[in-house]
Amino acid sequence: MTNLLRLENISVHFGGHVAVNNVSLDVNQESITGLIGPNGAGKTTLFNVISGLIAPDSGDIIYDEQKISSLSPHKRARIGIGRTFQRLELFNSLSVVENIQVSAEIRNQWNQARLQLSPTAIKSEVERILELTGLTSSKDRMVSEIPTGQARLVELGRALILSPKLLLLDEPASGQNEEETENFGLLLRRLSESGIAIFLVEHDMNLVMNICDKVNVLDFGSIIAHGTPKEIQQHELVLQAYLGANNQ
Amino acid sequence: MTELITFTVVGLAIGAIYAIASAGLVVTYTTSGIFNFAHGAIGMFSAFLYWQLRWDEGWGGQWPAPLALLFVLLIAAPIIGVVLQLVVMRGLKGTSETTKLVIPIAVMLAFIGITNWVWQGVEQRIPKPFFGRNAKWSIGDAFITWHQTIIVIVAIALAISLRFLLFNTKMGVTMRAVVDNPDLVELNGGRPDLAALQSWAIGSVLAAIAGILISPLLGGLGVLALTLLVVNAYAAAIFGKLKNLPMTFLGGLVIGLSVSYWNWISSTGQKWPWLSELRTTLPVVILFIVLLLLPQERLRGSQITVTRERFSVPTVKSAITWSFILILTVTGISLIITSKWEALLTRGLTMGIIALSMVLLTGYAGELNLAPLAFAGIGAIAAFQFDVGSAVETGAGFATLAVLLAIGFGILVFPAFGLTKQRLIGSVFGFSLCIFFLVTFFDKTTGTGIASRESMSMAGLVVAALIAGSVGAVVALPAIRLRGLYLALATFAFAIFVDRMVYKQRETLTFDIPFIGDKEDLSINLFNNGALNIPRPKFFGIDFNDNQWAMLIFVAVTFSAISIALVKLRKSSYGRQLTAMKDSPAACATLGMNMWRLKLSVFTLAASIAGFGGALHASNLRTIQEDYPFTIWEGLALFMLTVVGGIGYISGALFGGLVYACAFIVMGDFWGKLAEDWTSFSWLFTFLQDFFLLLGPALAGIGLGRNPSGVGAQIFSGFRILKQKENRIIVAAGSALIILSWSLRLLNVYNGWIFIMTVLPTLFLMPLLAEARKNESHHAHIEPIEMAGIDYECTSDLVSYLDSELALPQHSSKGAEKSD
Repeated sequence: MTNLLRLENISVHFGGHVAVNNVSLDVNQESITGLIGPNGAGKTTLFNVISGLIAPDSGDIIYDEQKISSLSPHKRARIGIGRTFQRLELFNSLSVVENIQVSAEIRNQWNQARLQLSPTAIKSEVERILELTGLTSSKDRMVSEIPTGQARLVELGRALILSPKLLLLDEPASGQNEEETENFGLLLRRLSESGIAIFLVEHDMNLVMNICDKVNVLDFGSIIAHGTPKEIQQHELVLQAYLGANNQ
Repeated sequence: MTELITFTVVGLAIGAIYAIASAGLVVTYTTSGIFNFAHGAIGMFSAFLYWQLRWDEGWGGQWPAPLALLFVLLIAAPIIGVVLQLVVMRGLKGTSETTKLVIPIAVMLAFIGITNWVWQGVEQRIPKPFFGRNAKWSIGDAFITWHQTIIVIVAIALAISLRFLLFNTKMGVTMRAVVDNPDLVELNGGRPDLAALQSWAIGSVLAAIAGILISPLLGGLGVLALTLLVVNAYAAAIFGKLKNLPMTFLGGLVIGLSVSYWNWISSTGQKWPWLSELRTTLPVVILFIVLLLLPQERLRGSQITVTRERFSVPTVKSAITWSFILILTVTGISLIITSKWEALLTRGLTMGIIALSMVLLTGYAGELNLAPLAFAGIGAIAAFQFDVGSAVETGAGFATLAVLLAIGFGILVFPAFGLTKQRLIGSVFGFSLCIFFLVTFFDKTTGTGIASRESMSMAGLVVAALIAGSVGAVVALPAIRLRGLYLALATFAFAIFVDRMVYKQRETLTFDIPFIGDKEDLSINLFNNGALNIPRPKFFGIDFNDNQWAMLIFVAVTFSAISIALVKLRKSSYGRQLTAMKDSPAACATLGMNMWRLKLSVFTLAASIAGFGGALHASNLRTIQEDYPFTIWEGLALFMLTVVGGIGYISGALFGGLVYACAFIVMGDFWGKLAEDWTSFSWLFTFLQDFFLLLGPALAGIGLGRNPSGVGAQIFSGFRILKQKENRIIVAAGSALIILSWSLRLLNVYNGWIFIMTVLPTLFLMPLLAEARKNESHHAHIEPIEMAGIDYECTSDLVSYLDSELALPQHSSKGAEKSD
């Protein structure tokens, strides 16, 4: 598996508070990499650093063998970094289908290399994504009115239609019920098999342990462990810091 | 040296006043998150009150200074602050930035209205400085008045006591904590509401101190001048990023000293006459620059809180239907009113066109612009200068200018529509060619010279729009990275700049266009001694100069056309992108959107709509003056009323324009007439007349807190019920009644007031009747709904009623789900 994203010694401070402390990690192509850790561990901050919404105080972000630390967020999106948000950032005045459609239209604006899509081509692309995410039946509802679980799927669809190489998913399964989470896991596996590298922040341990190839554990801004789900489940520091020492 | 000391002292004194005023602004902003636009007006009102108590020879007057000061500063001002917080500002939690901006603007207009009302007349009100004019001491040859000395001492004392209050008292600590997390303060036994009350009281006292201290320096009390002077303090507050008090004080001093030193260098405006107004404009120029230099908050997720505003979008088809109804209604009304009222209605519709620019910019794209009328004014001036005036002497020059503008406009706006490169070039070329033909053949201006026409041409209107659009782009370019309140303040600064540097400009400016003509290709006397005569248009063989009716219909059709275009735009890919940018800039960035280009295009487009509307509005009025109708105050009122009408809707613009230009005048006229007819009650009717004229807009704005999506939407949703089949009879009866009344009016059976008295109640009763019928048919369900299935049978009717009330998908009889 080749490396797609590499973080090297990333640190972020908010005033005196160290949110991310000297973090280095890898995300490989065609794989699902998990990032877990207690609330406030710095997971979302790290995602914001990767997508360019926060500039790190030190460290490098290497994507596709290029340093991208100085690129603005929209340029990072254009080279294939898509993401969803933990606290939903949907376009609330638009319907489900329009949310995904506008994303395709935004891509149409900047995608000079490919021939620009005609409105009908965009439409069929949107239909495909709706089908893929299982949103077809609620496509005409306003996103402000649908349940959180579905809203997270809209964010996923919105990112997917950009054909990203790397997908950052910030707690995508929260708000989904058991069955939805299971289907969601299958969807993520299929996406990763189709060639997308997925970097996943999630609190649902079953999901993480079932679908991730590698897992990183973040605590107080530092990586305390990384490895396969199995290794992580037995890692002493993780059990102490995250799952609670008594769980043994 | 003497001069240096004198100007420094003057600067320090003015700066100290700005510092005091801006400190009040910062205190209220940090504790409530509301930028109090009314701050200046509170200072102004307090200065009037103080003058009344201290100096007036009529009621109240001639109190000793300490007593008057105690009354204003310790009783009146705190009460104003507390009442404002309790009655108005407290209701702003959870509303959008637009609403948070509009309500204080409404409060400001209310204070201006009240002051104008109470202190009517042209009487000169001259407050004297403390200890009189001659109380001064000297450093060398430079004299320093006691008033100036007191100002500086008061500022220092306030700075120290504010610092002590905020950091060393429980009250101050609570106030600071409220900024960070009001909920947490409450959980810890603090009282955020009380802290907010205290901060509003303190803020209001600081405004009053500033108002009282500054008024003797102005010569006489002026409502607008005083309000704006304290507005200068905004710049100081921005220096401190609206939270840092020491930086705010420093900012005040910097501004005061800059103004004073500029006066010294320019010999109080004697040198460089075209910059003479800069002495009053300098603070807003500084405000604009500081806003641009300020490090901006970065884009980040989860900024959006769920707000109460919701805008839905009509289909293009329904926009066309409604446009048709509008034109029909206007035509119908025009047949039964005199030309005076036709002119008024036209005014309302042209203002509506200007307000449409805000629907696009603020309603669709979420960008705040407090200078809609500055762009309208620029449009009017451009139409005058380049079409009917004599700025460009030859038609060829005009055509060149028009084509250049068209190319610029195309380059700014078209790329945002997502065209491919070839198409982009093609459409810019095509657009410029259209403009070229319009100017040279359609309006036949080539070679003949267009100086001093007697009517405005279509080309003139188009060029007005293009020039306003270009200015919009120039303003937007630096301001594009600003958002929310900061953008609003930048546009506010721009509007004041236009008010003073453009409308008050008396000098003739000459420019050289390279390669064309001699050295003075463009010589512009921007605002022709305070008034511009702008003739009506003349095209399609119709001369609008002597035909108010034609003008009215033309304007109604134009309003409709622009409205339909805007709805179509909102429904297009471009419109969706604007909405996306408004809803979540962070998400847009992570989808690869370059918001810079989109913002620039929408600013340009909106400014050109405003410019077009401005040129039409001016030509309908025939004359515009430096202080009417495109000043910052009128602009704020129009902005406010459009928000009240619903800035996300076309109907909001219509409401804003009509109410702003017509409704309050009509109501004032109504009460005025009654006062004439019933002399025994004339005091009551005169009171009501003044009330509507002076306070109407402000009260409409303050009422917004109750319905942040706007009244337009509310009215429309009220009428929606009439669409249902079973209500057709009500619609038919109501329409018949209206048509009957209209016919009777047409036949002069009765006058306009009776017509209004029959039509308005009919319109209001129609949805009410329908609502009552609906309630009747559902009456059985409504009472004890929770007893359904226990006390009485749960019918399928009841289930579908509950579904519809809960907005759930309806269960059809076959059991299949049907989405609604």
